[in-house]
Amino acid sequence: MTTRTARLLVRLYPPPWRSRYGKEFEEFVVGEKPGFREILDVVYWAVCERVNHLGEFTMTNPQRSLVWMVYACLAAILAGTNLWWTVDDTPLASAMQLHALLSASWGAVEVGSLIMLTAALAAGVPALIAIVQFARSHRRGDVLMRLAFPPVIGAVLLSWTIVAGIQLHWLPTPWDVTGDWTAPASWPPLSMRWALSAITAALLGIAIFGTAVAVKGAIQRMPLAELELALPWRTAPIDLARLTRVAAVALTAAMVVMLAGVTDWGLLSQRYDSTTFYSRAGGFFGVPLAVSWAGSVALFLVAAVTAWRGAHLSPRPNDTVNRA
Amino acid sequence: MDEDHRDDLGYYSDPSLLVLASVADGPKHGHVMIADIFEMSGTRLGPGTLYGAIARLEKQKLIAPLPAEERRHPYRITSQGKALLHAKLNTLHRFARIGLRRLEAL
Repeated sequence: MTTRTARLLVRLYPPPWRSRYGKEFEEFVVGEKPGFREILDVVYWAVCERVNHLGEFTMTNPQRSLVWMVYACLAAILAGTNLWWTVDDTPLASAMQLHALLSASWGAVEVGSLIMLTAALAAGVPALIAIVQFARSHRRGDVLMRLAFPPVIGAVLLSWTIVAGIQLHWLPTPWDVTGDWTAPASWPPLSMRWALSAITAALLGIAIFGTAVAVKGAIQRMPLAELELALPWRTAPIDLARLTRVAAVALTAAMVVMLAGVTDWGLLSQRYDSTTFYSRAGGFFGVPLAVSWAGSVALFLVAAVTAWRGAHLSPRPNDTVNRA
Repeated sequence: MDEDHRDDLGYYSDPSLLVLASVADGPKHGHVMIADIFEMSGTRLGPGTLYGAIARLEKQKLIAPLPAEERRHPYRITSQGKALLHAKLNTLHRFARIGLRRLEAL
């Protein structure tokens, strides 16, 4: 039997089983030179393993922690994007130059996002390298495909907005559809703005939810033993579980800072310019700024709770592997 | 006993117990296990059956993997595995002894 045929047989087994026995079993099957009866035996047992693994959610706590951190970052990215586009080009953006407190609360959101970025890079980059190393050494194309999803969908989203922006002289974002302003003559008609913005919103939704599912799938397919990053210039490998703990705590702190900042910013905005805050329709798909701001607050709250969940599941010093 | 008659007699074929018995005298990898089990019981386990049994036994901590040797992955029996194998074989031994005694009484 060729290695290629053996690999195809191994692919019949469920991912958790393959992660543990895939390579070993493949080598065994090639060495055993199976006949038709043995191949049927492998197919039968692969089906049995598939049935046994139905609905099984096998992730260790450090893996779960990483997944929750990814979810938290995605929620914060969505919240931050919505907030930025909601405030952009409104009198509230100018008001921040006049009111120090309003500017400070916006600054808190910016500081929080920097901490988030640092924590995400600190845990994310080594985890990404470790997963890629694992996927390449174990020939796990399914893991690599999952990892490729976020950059691919990101490129699609970016290309879509840039191409549409160049062609139509208008960026097809859900925050620039309609409002209490007069659209420039060079912009496409309102109905087209609605349709194109809906496509952008759908792409954004696919990007966020697809990334969440894809990254979770990649992390889930990686055995805990592989959560160590061997670097050529270090003698001892980096323990990603410990690194995850530090990053998860920092990420939770970042989310709390951003939540506090954005909440404070909204409360101060209604104090300084309540008319604009409540009446101006320039938020997501033309909703009032206050409603769009409330959406961001809710998303930041979700991000903070999710990050806290990630920190709670991350391994403490002297923890043994806890398979939940 | 020739191979044809083994099928007629319904030879013992619990894959997990066969794997446990195979590694009882020392660590073995898959290819050696298959040959050893065939010699011991007349049962030729298929690759899927063997690794199904190995996975179950490892999950139950009855066997444990050892570091790979030239792309071969040996397994050893654990103390729990020894205890379980001992108990199972004692039961089988008692069953066989009583069965044989009854046959002799005929």
